[in-house]
Amino acid sequence: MRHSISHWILKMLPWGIPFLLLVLWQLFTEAGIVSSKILPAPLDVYFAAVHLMQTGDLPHHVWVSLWRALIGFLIGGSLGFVLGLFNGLFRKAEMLLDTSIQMLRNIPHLALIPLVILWFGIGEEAKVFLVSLGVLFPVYLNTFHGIKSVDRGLIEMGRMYGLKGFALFCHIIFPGALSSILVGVRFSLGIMWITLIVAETISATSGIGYMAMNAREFMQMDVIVLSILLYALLGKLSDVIARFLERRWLKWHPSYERNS
Amino acid sequence: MNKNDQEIHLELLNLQKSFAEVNVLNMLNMNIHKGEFIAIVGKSGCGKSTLLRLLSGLEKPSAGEIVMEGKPLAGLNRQACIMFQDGRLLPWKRVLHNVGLGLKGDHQEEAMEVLRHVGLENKSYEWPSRLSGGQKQRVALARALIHKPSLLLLDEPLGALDALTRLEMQSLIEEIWAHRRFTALLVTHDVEEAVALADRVIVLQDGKIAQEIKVSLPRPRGRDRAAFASIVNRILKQIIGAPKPVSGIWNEGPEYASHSVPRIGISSAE
Repeated sequence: MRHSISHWILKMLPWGIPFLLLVLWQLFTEAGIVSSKILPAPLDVYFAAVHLMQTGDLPHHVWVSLWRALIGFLIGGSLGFVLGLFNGLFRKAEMLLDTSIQMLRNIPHLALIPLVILWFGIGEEAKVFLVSLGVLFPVYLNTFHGIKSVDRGLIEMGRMYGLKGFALFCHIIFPGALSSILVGVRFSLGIMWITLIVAETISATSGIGYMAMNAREFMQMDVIVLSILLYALLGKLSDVIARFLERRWLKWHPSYERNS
Repeated sequence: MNKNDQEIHLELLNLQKSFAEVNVLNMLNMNIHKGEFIAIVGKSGCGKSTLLRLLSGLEKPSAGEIVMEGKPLAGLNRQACIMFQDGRLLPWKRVLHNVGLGLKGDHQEEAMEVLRHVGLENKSYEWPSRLSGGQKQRVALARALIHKPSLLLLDEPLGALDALTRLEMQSLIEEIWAHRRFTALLVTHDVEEAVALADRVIVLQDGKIAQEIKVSLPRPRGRDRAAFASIVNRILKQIIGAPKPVSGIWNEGPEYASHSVPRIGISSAE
Protein backbone atom coordinates (compact mmCIF):
# COMPACT_ATOMS: atom_id res chain seq x y z
CA MET A 1 0.00 0.00 0.00
CA ARG A 2 2.74 2.43 0.99
CA HIS A 3 4.56 1.49 -2.15
CA SER A 4 1.62 2.43 -4.39
CA ILE A 5 1.18 5.79 -2.63
CA SER A 6 4.81 6.75 -3.11
CA HIS A 7 4.55 5.58 -6.70
CA TRP A 8 1.53 7.83 -7.19
CA ILE A 9 3.32 10.83 -5.67
CA LEU A 10 6.27 10.23 -7.95
CA LYS A 11 3.99 10.17 -10.99
CA MET A 12 2.38 13.46 -9.99
CA LEU A 13 5.68 15.18 -9.23
CA PRO A 14 6.08 16.92 -12.65
CA TRP A 15 2.70 18.57 -12.14
CA GLY A 16 3.56 19.96 -8.70
CA ILE A 17 4.95 23.31 -9.84
CA PRO A 18 2.19 24.11 -12.39
CA PHE A 19 -0.43 23.30 -9.78
CA LEU A 20 1.25 25.47 -7.14
CA LEU A 21 1.48 28.39 -9.60
CA LEU A 22 -2.19 28.00 -10.44
CA VAL A 23 -3.20 28.16 -6.77
CA LEU A 24 -0.99 31.22 -6.14
CA TRP A 25 -2.38 32.90 -9.24
CA GLN A 26 -5.96 32.39 -8.08
CA LEU A 27 -5.16 33.68 -4.58
CA PHE A 28 -3.33 36.78 -5.89
CA THR A 29 -6.13 37.80 -8.25
CA GLU A 30 -8.82 37.16 -5.65
CA ALA A 31 -6.98 39.29 -3.12
CA GLY A 32 -6.73 42.06 -5.70
CA ILE A 33 -2.93 42.11 -5.67
CA VAL A 34 -3.06 41.47 -9.42
CA SER A 35 -5.70 43.40 -11.33
CA SER A 36 -8.02 41.30 -13.46
CA LYS A 37 -7.30 43.75 -16.31
CA ILE A 38 -3.69 42.56 -16.26
CA LEU A 39 -4.34 38.89 -15.60
CA PRO A 40 -7.72 37.20 -15.17
CA ALA A 41 -8.16 34.63 -12.42
CA PRO A 42 -7.77 30.98 -13.41
CA LEU A 43 -11.39 30.34 -12.57
CA ASP A 44 -12.47 33.13 -14.94
CA VAL A 45 -10.41 31.51 -17.67
CA TYR A 46 -12.11 28.23 -16.87
CA PHE A 47 -15.55 29.82 -17.09
CA ALA A 48 -14.61 31.43 -20.41
CA ALA A 49 -13.64 27.99 -21.67
CA VAL A 50 -16.94 26.51 -20.54
CA HIS A 51 -18.85 29.34 -22.15
CA LEU A 52 -17.00 29.00 -25.47
CA MET A 53 -17.54 25.25 -25.37
CA GLN A 54 -21.28 25.83 -25.07
CA THR A 55 -21.35 28.27 -27.99
CA GLY A 56 -19.28 25.82 -30.02
CA ASP A 57 -16.58 28.42 -30.77
CA LEU A 58 -13.84 26.69 -28.86
CA PRO A 59 -14.10 23.24 -30.51
CA HIS A 60 -14.34 24.95 -33.88
CA HIS A 61 -11.19 27.05 -33.46
CA VAL A 62 -9.18 24.25 -31.88
CA TRP A 63 -10.21 21.89 -34.65
CA VAL A 64 -9.21 24.39 -37.36
CA SER A 65 -5.80 24.97 -35.77
CA LEU A 66 -5.21 21.27 -35.23
CA TRP A 67 -6.11 20.51 -38.81
CA ARG A 68 -3.73 23.16 -40.17
CA ALA A 69 -0.94 21.90 -37.94
CA LEU A 70 -1.45 18.29 -38.98
CA ILE A 71 -1.76 18.88 -42.72
CA GLY A 72 1.26 21.19 -42.70
CA PHE A 73 3.25 18.72 -40.66
CA LEU A 74 2.35 15.82 -42.91
CA ILE A 75 3.25 17.67 -46.11
CA GLY A 76 6.47 19.26 -44.82
CA GLY A 77 7.50 16.23 -42.79
CA SER A 78 7.10 13.76 -45.62
CA LEU A 79 8.90 16.07 -48.05
CA GLY A 80 11.77 16.50 -45.59
CA PHE A 81 11.86 12.76 -44.94
CA VAL A 82 11.93 11.82 -48.61
CA LEU A 83 14.58 14.43 -49.42
CA GLY A 84 16.69 13.35 -46.46
CA LEU A 85 16.32 9.74 -47.51
CA PHE A 86 17.39 10.36 -51.08
CA ASN A 87 20.29 12.61 -50.22
CA GLY A 88 21.43 10.27 -47.48
CA LEU A 89 21.25 7.18 -49.68
CA PHE A 90 22.42 8.47 -53.03
CA ARG A 91 25.58 10.46 -53.37
CA LYS A 92 24.44 12.00 -56.66
CA ALA A 93 21.17 13.27 -55.19
CA GLU A 94 23.13 14.81 -52.34
CA MET A 95 25.45 16.60 -54.74
CA LEU A 96 22.52 17.89 -56.75
CA LEU A 97 20.21 18.99 -53.94
CA ASP A 98 21.99 19.51 -50.66
CA THR A 99 23.52 22.92 -51.41
CA SER A 100 20.18 24.36 -52.52
CA ILE A 101 18.39 22.95 -49.50
CA GLN A 102 21.00 24.37 -47.17
CA MET A 103 20.54 27.81 -48.74
CA LEU A 104 16.77 27.69 -48.37
CA ARG A 105 17.10 26.39 -44.83
CA ASN A 106 18.89 29.52 -43.72
CA ILE A 107 15.99 31.81 -44.64
CA PRO A 108 13.78 32.21 -41.55
CA HIS A 109 10.48 30.89 -42.86
CA LEU A 110 8.48 33.44 -40.87
CA ALA A 111 10.20 36.18 -42.89
CA LEU A 112 8.19 34.94 -45.84
CA ILE A 113 4.84 35.92 -44.26
CA PRO A 114 4.35 39.12 -46.31
CA LEU A 115 5.15 37.22 -49.48
CA VAL A 116 2.94 34.30 -48.53
CA ILE A 117 -0.01 36.61 -47.83
CA LEU A 118 0.38 38.14 -51.27
CA TRP A 119 0.60 34.71 -52.85
CA PHE A 120 -2.17 32.89 -51.03
CA GLY A 121 -4.17 35.62 -49.35
CA ILE A 122 -5.13 34.80 -45.78
CA GLY A 123 -6.73 31.44 -46.63
CA GLU A 124 -5.76 28.00 -45.43
CA GLU A 125 -3.00 27.57 -48.00
CA ALA A 126 -0.90 30.31 -46.46
CA LYS A 127 -0.81 28.68 -43.03
CA VAL A 128 -0.34 25.17 -44.32
CA PHE A 129 2.47 26.40 -46.56
CA LEU A 130 4.27 28.15 -43.72
CA VAL A 131 3.93 25.18 -41.36
CA SER A 132 5.16 22.77 -44.06
CA LEU A 133 8.16 24.95 -44.76
CA GLY A 134 9.04 25.26 -41.10
CA VAL A 135 8.71 21.54 -40.47
CA LEU A 136 10.59 20.42 -43.58
CA PHE A 137 14.11 21.36 -42.60
CA PRO A 138 14.46 19.77 -39.17
CA VAL A 139 13.04 16.51 -40.52
CA TYR A 140 15.30 16.73 -43.57
CA LEU A 141 18.47 17.45 -41.61
CA ASN A 142 17.94 14.72 -39.07
CA THR A 143 16.90 12.09 -41.59
CA PHE A 144 19.92 12.91 -43.74
CA HIS A 145 22.27 12.88 -40.78
CA GLY A 146 20.70 9.71 -39.37
CA ILE A 147 21.23 7.80 -42.59
CA LYS A 148 24.75 9.12 -43.04
CA SER A 149 25.71 8.02 -39.56
CA VAL A 150 24.47 4.42 -39.75
CA ASP A 151 27.42 2.20 -38.83
CA ARG A 152 29.19 1.20 -42.07
CA GLY A 153 30.24 -2.03 -40.38
CA LEU A 154 26.61 -3.07 -39.96
CA ILE A 155 25.84 -2.35 -43.61
CA GLU A 156 28.86 -4.40 -44.65
CA MET A 157 27.76 -7.22 -42.39
CA GLY A 158 24.25 -7.10 -43.86
CA ARG A 159 25.61 -7.33 -47.39
CA MET A 160 27.73 -10.27 -46.32
CA TYR A 161 24.58 -12.05 -45.15
CA GLY A 162 22.81 -11.48 -48.45
CA LEU A 163 20.84 -8.29 -47.77
CA LYS A 164 20.65 -5.69 -50.50
CA GLY A 165 18.41 -2.97 -51.84
CA PHE A 166 15.12 -2.62 -50.02
CA ALA A 167 15.83 -5.42 -47.53
CA LEU A 168 19.09 -3.76 -46.53
CA PHE A 169 17.19 -0.49 -46.06
CA CYS A 170 14.42 -2.07 -43.97
CA HIS A 171 16.59 -4.17 -41.69
CA ILE A 172 19.64 -1.98 -41.24
CA ILE A 173 19.61 1.56 -42.66
CA PHE A 174 16.15 2.74 -41.57
CA PRO A 175 16.26 1.31 -38.03
CA GLY A 176 19.75 2.72 -37.67
CA ALA A 177 18.59 6.19 -38.66
CA LEU A 178 15.31 6.07 -36.75
CA SER A 179 16.44 7.64 -33.48
CA SER A 180 17.85 10.60 -35.36
CA ILE A 181 14.69 10.91 -37.48
CA LEU A 182 12.56 11.00 -34.34
CA VAL A 183 14.71 13.79 -32.93
CA GLY A 184 13.87 15.70 -36.10
CA VAL A 185 10.17 14.96 -35.67
CA ARG A 186 10.18 16.19 -32.08
CA PHE A 187 12.02 19.33 -33.03
CA SER A 188 9.70 20.04 -35.92
CA LEU A 189 6.60 19.62 -33.75
CA GLY A 190 7.77 22.61 -31.74
CA ILE A 191 8.34 24.63 -34.89
CA MET A 192 4.93 23.56 -36.16
CA TRP A 193 3.11 25.23 -33.26
CA ILE A 194 5.27 28.36 -33.27
CA THR A 195 4.68 28.88 -36.99
CA LEU A 196 0.97 28.36 -36.60
CA ILE A 197 0.69 30.80 -33.70
CA VAL A 198 2.45 33.53 -35.63
CA ALA A 199 0.57 32.89 -38.85
CA GLU A 200 -2.83 32.77 -37.15
CA THR A 201 -2.14 35.87 -35.13
CA ILE A 202 -1.19 37.93 -38.16
CA SER A 203 -3.79 36.82 -40.64
CA ALA A 204 -6.70 34.49 -40.04
CA THR A 205 -10.46 34.33 -39.73
CA SER A 206 -10.49 31.25 -37.54
CA GLY A 207 -8.22 29.19 -35.33
CA ILE A 208 -6.81 29.65 -31.85
CA GLY A 209 -4.62 32.58 -32.88
CA TYR A 210 -7.59 34.35 -34.42
CA MET A 211 -9.59 33.71 -31.26
CA ALA A 212 -6.89 35.45 -29.22
CA MET A 213 -6.59 38.42 -31.58
CA ASN A 214 -10.35 38.79 -31.73
CA ALA A 215 -10.59 38.74 -27.95
CA ARG A 216 -7.96 41.48 -27.77
CA GLU A 217 -10.31 43.80 -29.71
CA PHE A 218 -12.94 43.34 -27.00
CA MET A 219 -10.50 43.27 -24.08
CA GLN A 220 -11.54 39.70 -23.19
CA MET A 221 -8.51 38.94 -21.05
CA ASP A 222 -9.85 35.52 -20.06
CA VAL A 223 -10.15 34.38 -23.69
CA ILE A 224 -6.64 35.62 -24.51
CA VAL A 225 -5.16 33.68 -21.63
CA LEU A 226 -7.27 30.67 -22.56
CA SER A 227 -5.78 30.73 -26.09
CA ILE A 228 -2.26 30.84 -24.74
CA LEU A 229 -3.00 27.93 -22.42
CA LEU A 230 -4.47 25.97 -25.33
CA TYR A 231 -1.26 26.33 -27.27
CA ALA A 232 0.71 25.13 -24.26
CA LEU A 233 -1.56 22.12 -23.90
CA LEU A 234 -1.44 21.20 -27.57
CA GLY A 235 2.34 21.60 -27.60
CA LYS A 236 2.62 19.32 -24.61
CA LEU A 237 0.27 16.82 -26.24
CA SER A 238 2.38 16.56 -29.39
CA ASP A 239 5.49 16.13 -27.27
CA VAL A 240 3.82 13.30 -25.38
CA ILE A 241 2.92 11.60 -28.66
CA ALA A 242 6.49 11.97 -29.96
CA ARG A 243 7.88 10.49 -26.74
CA PHE A 244 5.43 7.64 -26.92
CA LEU A 245 6.63 6.84 -30.44
CA GLU A 246 10.26 7.00 -29.31
CA ARG A 247 9.58 4.58 -26.48
CA ARG A 248 7.73 2.25 -28.77
CA TRP A 249 10.10 2.22 -31.71
CA LEU A 250 13.38 2.53 -29.87
CA LYS A 251 12.71 0.06 -27.10
CA TRP A 252 15.86 -1.81 -28.04
CA HIS A 253 17.88 1.27 -27.10
CA PRO A 254 19.33 1.07 -23.58
CA SER A 255 18.34 4.68 -22.81
CA TYR A 256 14.67 4.05 -23.60
CA GLU A 257 14.50 0.82 -21.73
CA ARG A 258 11.78 0.71 -19.13
CA ASN A 259 12.60 -0.44 -15.65
CA SER A 260 10.73 -3.66 -15.34
CA MET B 1 43.38 -36.36 -39.17
CA ASN B 2 41.09 -35.20 -41.91
CA LYS B 3 39.83 -37.61 -44.50
CA ASN B 4 39.47 -34.83 -47.07
CA ASP B 5 43.04 -33.84 -46.46
CA GLN B 6 44.03 -33.84 -50.08
CA GLU B 7 41.09 -31.94 -51.49
CA ILE B 8 41.96 -28.32 -52.14
CA HIS B 9 39.26 -25.88 -51.11
CA LEU B 10 40.92 -22.55 -51.72
CA GLU B 11 43.82 -21.47 -53.85
CA LEU B 12 45.45 -18.09 -53.62
CA LEU B 13 47.33 -17.31 -56.81
CA ASN B 14 49.82 -14.44 -56.85
CA LEU B 15 47.37 -12.52 -54.73
CA GLN B 16 48.13 -8.85 -54.43
CA LYS B 17 46.33 -5.96 -52.79
CA SER B 18 47.50 -2.40 -52.60
CA PHE B 19 45.92 0.70 -51.12
CA ALA B 20 47.22 3.99 -52.54
CA GLU B 21 50.35 2.46 -54.02
CA VAL B 22 51.24 0.63 -50.83
CA ASN B 23 51.33 -3.12 -51.19
CA VAL B 24 49.46 -4.67 -48.31
CA LEU B 25 49.57 -8.16 -49.74
CA ASN B 26 52.40 -9.07 -52.02
CA MET B 27 52.30 -12.03 -54.41
CA LEU B 28 50.66 -14.40 -51.99
CA ASN B 29 50.44 -18.07 -52.97
CA MET B 30 48.77 -20.63 -50.78
CA ASN B 31 46.59 -23.72 -50.89
CA ILE B 32 44.01 -24.41 -48.27
CA HIS B 33 42.50 -27.86 -47.91
CA LYS B 34 38.89 -28.65 -47.25
CA GLY B 35 38.11 -28.73 -43.57
CA GLU B 36 41.46 -27.32 -42.60
CA PHE B 37 41.85 -24.87 -39.73
CA ILE B 38 44.32 -22.15 -40.65
CA ALA B 39 45.50 -19.43 -38.32
CA ILE B 40 47.13 -16.29 -39.60
CA VAL B 41 49.27 -14.32 -37.22
CA GLY B 42 51.44 -11.27 -37.60
CA LYS B 43 51.94 -7.74 -36.38
CA SER B 44 49.18 -5.20 -36.98
CA GLY B 45 49.32 -3.88 -40.51
CA CYS B 46 50.85 -7.06 -41.92
CA GLY B 47 47.84 -7.55 -44.17
CA LYS B 48 46.09 -10.35 -42.34
CA SER B 49 42.68 -8.68 -42.07
CA THR B 50 42.96 -7.60 -45.71
CA LEU B 51 43.44 -11.24 -46.67
CA LEU B 52 40.18 -12.18 -44.93
CA ARG B 53 38.33 -9.34 -46.60
CA LEU B 54 39.57 -10.54 -49.98
CA LEU B 55 38.43 -14.07 -49.21
CA SER B 56 34.99 -12.85 -48.17
CA GLY B 57 34.69 -10.85 -51.38
CA LEU B 58 34.26 -7.55 -49.52
CA GLU B 59 37.37 -6.28 -51.32
CA LYS B 60 38.73 -7.06 -54.75
CA PRO B 61 42.36 -8.08 -55.25
CA SER B 62 44.56 -5.62 -57.13
CA ALA B 63 46.15 -8.53 -58.96
CA GLY B 64 46.08 -12.30 -58.86
CA GLU B 65 43.05 -14.34 -57.94
CA ILE B 66 41.35 -16.55 -55.43
CA VAL B 67 40.09 -19.87 -56.69
CA MET B 68 37.44 -21.58 -54.62
CA GLU B 69 36.50 -25.14 -55.44
CA GLY B 70 37.94 -24.73 -58.91
CA LYS B 71 36.12 -21.48 -59.69
CA PRO B 72 37.64 -18.01 -59.49
CA LEU B 73 35.97 -15.86 -56.85
CA ALA B 74 34.01 -12.87 -58.12
CA GLY B 75 31.83 -10.60 -56.02
CA LEU B 76 30.70 -11.52 -52.52
CA ASN B 77 31.66 -14.99 -51.44
CA ARG B 78 28.33 -16.69 -50.80
CA GLN B 79 29.84 -19.76 -49.19
CA ALA B 80 31.80 -17.80 -46.65
CA CYS B 81 30.69 -16.20 -43.43
CA ILE B 82 32.82 -13.73 -41.57
CA MET B 83 32.93 -13.02 -37.86
CA PHE B 84 34.28 -9.61 -36.88
CA GLN B 85 36.04 -8.46 -33.74
CA ASP B 86 33.06 -6.26 -32.89
CA GLY B 87 30.16 -8.68 -33.12
CA ARG B 88 28.20 -6.35 -35.45
CA LEU B 89 24.85 -7.40 -34.07
CA LEU B 90 21.88 -5.24 -34.97
CA PRO B 91 20.92 -3.55 -31.71
CA TRP B 92 17.28 -3.18 -32.85
CA LYS B 93 16.72 -6.88 -33.40
CA ARG B 94 16.34 -9.46 -30.68
CA VAL B 95 18.98 -12.17 -30.52
CA LEU B 96 16.82 -14.68 -32.38
CA HIS B 97 16.20 -12.31 -35.29
CA ASN B 98 19.84 -11.31 -35.42
CA VAL B 99 20.68 -14.95 -35.93
CA GLY B 100 18.05 -15.29 -38.65
CA LEU B 101 19.21 -12.19 -40.52
CA GLY B 102 19.15 -12.63 -44.28
CA LEU B 103 17.19 -15.89 -44.17
CA LYS B 104 13.94 -16.11 -46.03
CA GLY B 105 10.73 -17.47 -44.56
CA ASP B 106 10.25 -18.71 -41.03
CA HIS B 107 13.62 -19.26 -39.48
CA GLN B 108 12.74 -19.21 -35.77
CA GLU B 109 13.16 -22.92 -35.18
CA GLU B 110 16.42 -23.08 -37.06
CA ALA B 111 17.74 -20.06 -35.21
CA MET B 112 16.78 -21.59 -31.86
CA GLU B 113 18.63 -24.75 -32.83
CA VAL B 114 21.88 -22.88 -33.59
CA LEU B 115 21.51 -20.79 -30.47
CA ARG B 116 21.30 -24.05 -28.53
CA HIS B 117 24.60 -25.08 -30.11
CA VAL B 118 26.34 -22.00 -28.82
CA GLY B 119 24.61 -22.31 -25.44
CA LEU B 120 22.39 -19.22 -25.65
CA GLU B 121 18.89 -20.64 -26.14
CA ASN B 122 17.71 -18.86 -22.98
CA LYS B 123 18.76 -15.45 -24.36
CA SER B 124 16.90 -15.68 -27.64
CA TYR B 125 14.48 -12.84 -26.83
CA GLU B 126 17.02 -10.46 -25.28
CA TRP B 127 18.19 -7.26 -26.91
CA PRO B 128 21.88 -7.47 -27.86
CA SER B 129 22.68 -4.53 -25.56
CA ARG B 130 21.83 -6.79 -22.60
CA LEU B 131 24.49 -9.37 -23.49
CA SER B 132 28.09 -9.60 -22.34
CA GLY B 133 30.95 -9.40 -24.83
CA GLY B 134 31.35 -13.17 -24.96
CA GLN B 135 27.63 -13.73 -25.42
CA LYS B 136 27.55 -11.23 -28.26
CA GLN B 137 30.28 -13.16 -30.04
CA ARG B 138 28.37 -16.39 -29.49
CA VAL B 139 25.37 -14.81 -31.22
CA ALA B 140 27.64 -13.65 -34.06
CA LEU B 141 28.95 -17.21 -34.33
CA ALA B 142 25.42 -18.61 -34.41
CA ARG B 143 24.48 -16.09 -37.09
CA ALA B 144 27.38 -17.34 -39.21
CA LEU B 145 26.66 -21.02 -38.57
CA ILE B 146 23.01 -20.88 -39.55
CA HIS B 147 24.12 -20.25 -43.14
CA LYS B 148 26.09 -23.50 -43.07
CA PRO B 149 29.20 -21.87 -44.57
CA SER B 150 31.85 -24.05 -46.13
CA LEU B 151 34.35 -21.37 -45.16
CA LEU B 152 34.30 -19.54 -41.84
CA LEU B 153 36.43 -16.43 -41.65
CA LEU B 154 37.28 -15.26 -38.16
CA ASP B 155 38.69 -11.73 -37.99
CA GLU B 156 40.07 -11.57 -34.46
CA PRO B 157 36.67 -12.46 -33.04
CA LEU B 158 38.03 -12.99 -29.56
CA GLY B 159 40.36 -10.00 -29.45
CA ALA B 160 38.10 -7.89 -27.26
CA LEU B 161 37.23 -10.60 -24.73
CA ASP B 162 38.77 -11.22 -21.34
CA ALA B 163 41.20 -14.10 -20.96
CA LEU B 164 38.80 -16.62 -19.41
CA THR B 165 35.96 -15.94 -21.85
CA ARG B 166 38.45 -16.22 -24.67
CA LEU B 167 39.50 -19.72 -23.57
CA GLU B 168 35.85 -20.75 -23.37
CA MET B 169 35.14 -19.40 -26.84
CA GLN B 170 38.21 -21.10 -28.27
CA SER B 171 37.03 -24.50 -27.18
CA LEU B 172 33.52 -23.74 -28.44
CA ILE B 173 34.87 -22.80 -31.87
CA GLU B 174 37.08 -25.89 -31.95
CA GLU B 175 34.17 -28.12 -30.97
CA ILE B 176 31.85 -26.70 -33.61
CA TRP B 177 34.56 -26.86 -36.24
CA ALA B 178 35.30 -30.49 -35.42
CA HIS B 179 31.59 -31.27 -35.63
CA ARG B 180 30.74 -29.39 -38.82
CA ARG B 181 33.98 -29.76 -40.76
CA PHE B 182 34.01 -26.40 -42.51
CA THR B 183 37.25 -24.74 -43.52
CA ALA B 184 38.24 -22.10 -40.98
CA LEU B 185 40.56 -19.14 -41.30
CA LEU B 186 41.37 -17.37 -38.07
CA VAL B 187 43.21 -14.08 -37.96
CA THR B 188 44.60 -13.39 -34.53
CA HIS B 189 47.20 -11.49 -32.51
CA ASP B 190 47.35 -14.27 -30.01
CA VAL B 191 49.97 -16.82 -30.99
CA GLU B 192 48.81 -19.27 -28.32
CA GLU B 193 45.28 -19.13 -29.67
CA ALA B 194 46.64 -19.86 -33.13
CA VAL B 195 48.64 -22.86 -31.99
CA ALA B 196 45.77 -24.17 -29.85
CA LEU B 197 43.30 -24.17 -32.73
CA ALA B 198 45.02 -24.40 -36.08
CA ASP B 199 46.27 -27.26 -38.23
CA ARG B 200 48.57 -24.79 -39.85
CA VAL B 201 49.84 -21.42 -38.63
CA ILE B 202 50.85 -18.85 -41.23
CA VAL B 203 53.03 -15.95 -40.17
CA LEU B 204 52.45 -12.93 -42.40
CA GLN B 205 55.08 -10.25 -42.61
CA ASP B 206 54.92 -7.23 -44.91
CA GLY B 207 52.27 -8.93 -47.01
CA LYS B 208 54.23 -12.12 -47.52
CA ILE B 209 54.22 -15.51 -45.89
CA ALA B 210 57.23 -15.44 -43.62
CA GLN B 211 56.70 -18.79 -42.00
CA GLU B 212 54.34 -21.72 -42.22
CA ILE B 213 54.12 -24.19 -39.38
CA LYS B 214 52.11 -27.40 -39.31
CA VAL B 215 50.76 -28.13 -35.87
CA SER B 216 50.09 -31.82 -35.47
CA LEU B 217 49.52 -31.99 -31.72
CA PRO B 218 46.48 -34.06 -30.67
CA ARG B 219 43.29 -32.13 -29.84
CA PRO B 220 42.24 -30.70 -27.48
CA ARG B 221 45.70 -29.29 -27.00
CA GLY B 222 47.11 -28.92 -23.53
CA ARG B 223 48.95 -25.67 -23.33
CA ASP B 224 51.23 -26.79 -20.56
CA ARG B 225 53.03 -29.28 -22.80
CA ALA B 226 56.58 -28.62 -23.89
CA ALA B 227 55.81 -29.27 -27.54
CA PHE B 228 53.08 -26.62 -27.47
CA ALA B 229 55.33 -24.05 -25.86
CA SER B 230 58.14 -24.69 -28.29
CA ILE B 231 55.87 -24.09 -31.29
CA VAL B 232 54.57 -20.88 -29.73
CA ASN B 233 58.11 -19.72 -29.14
CA ARG B 234 59.21 -20.49 -32.65
CA ILE B 235 56.40 -18.38 -34.05
CA LEU B 236 56.97 -15.52 -31.64
CA LYS B 237 60.61 -15.49 -32.53
CA GLN B 238 59.69 -15.11 -36.17
CA ILE B 239 57.20 -12.31 -35.54
CA ILE B 240 59.27 -10.27 -33.16
CA GLY B 241 62.42 -10.90 -35.12
CA ALA B 242 65.78 -12.23 -34.10
CA PRO B 243 66.88 -10.27 -31.06
CA LYS B 244 69.81 -7.96 -31.64
CA PRO B 245 72.74 -8.90 -29.45
CA VAL B 246 73.10 -5.57 -27.65
CA SER B 247 73.97 -7.11 -24.33
CA GLY B 248 74.39 -10.75 -23.48
CA ILE B 249 70.92 -11.03 -21.95
CA TRP B 250 68.96 -11.14 -25.21
CA ASN B 251 70.64 -14.04 -26.88
CA GLU B 252 68.32 -16.96 -26.36
CA GLY B 253 65.15 -16.89 -28.43
CA PRO B 254 62.70 -19.03 -26.48
CA GLU B 255 63.52 -17.46 -23.14
CA TYR B 256 63.29 -14.02 -24.59
CA ALA B 257 59.85 -14.77 -25.90
CA SER B 258 58.50 -16.31 -22.76
CA HIS B 259 59.72 -13.44 -20.64
CA SER B 260 58.47 -10.63 -22.78
CA VAL B 261 55.06 -11.85 -23.91
CA PRO B 262 52.67 -11.75 -20.99
CA ARG B 263 49.93 -13.79 -22.70
CA ILE B 264 51.86 -16.97 -22.06
CA GLY B 265 50.96 -16.53 -18.42
CA ILE B 266 47.31 -17.20 -19.20
CA SER B 267 47.83 -20.88 -19.82
CA SER B 268 49.13 -21.48 -16.31
CA ALA B 269 45.93 -19.99 -14.90
CA GLU B 270 43.81 -22.39 -16.89
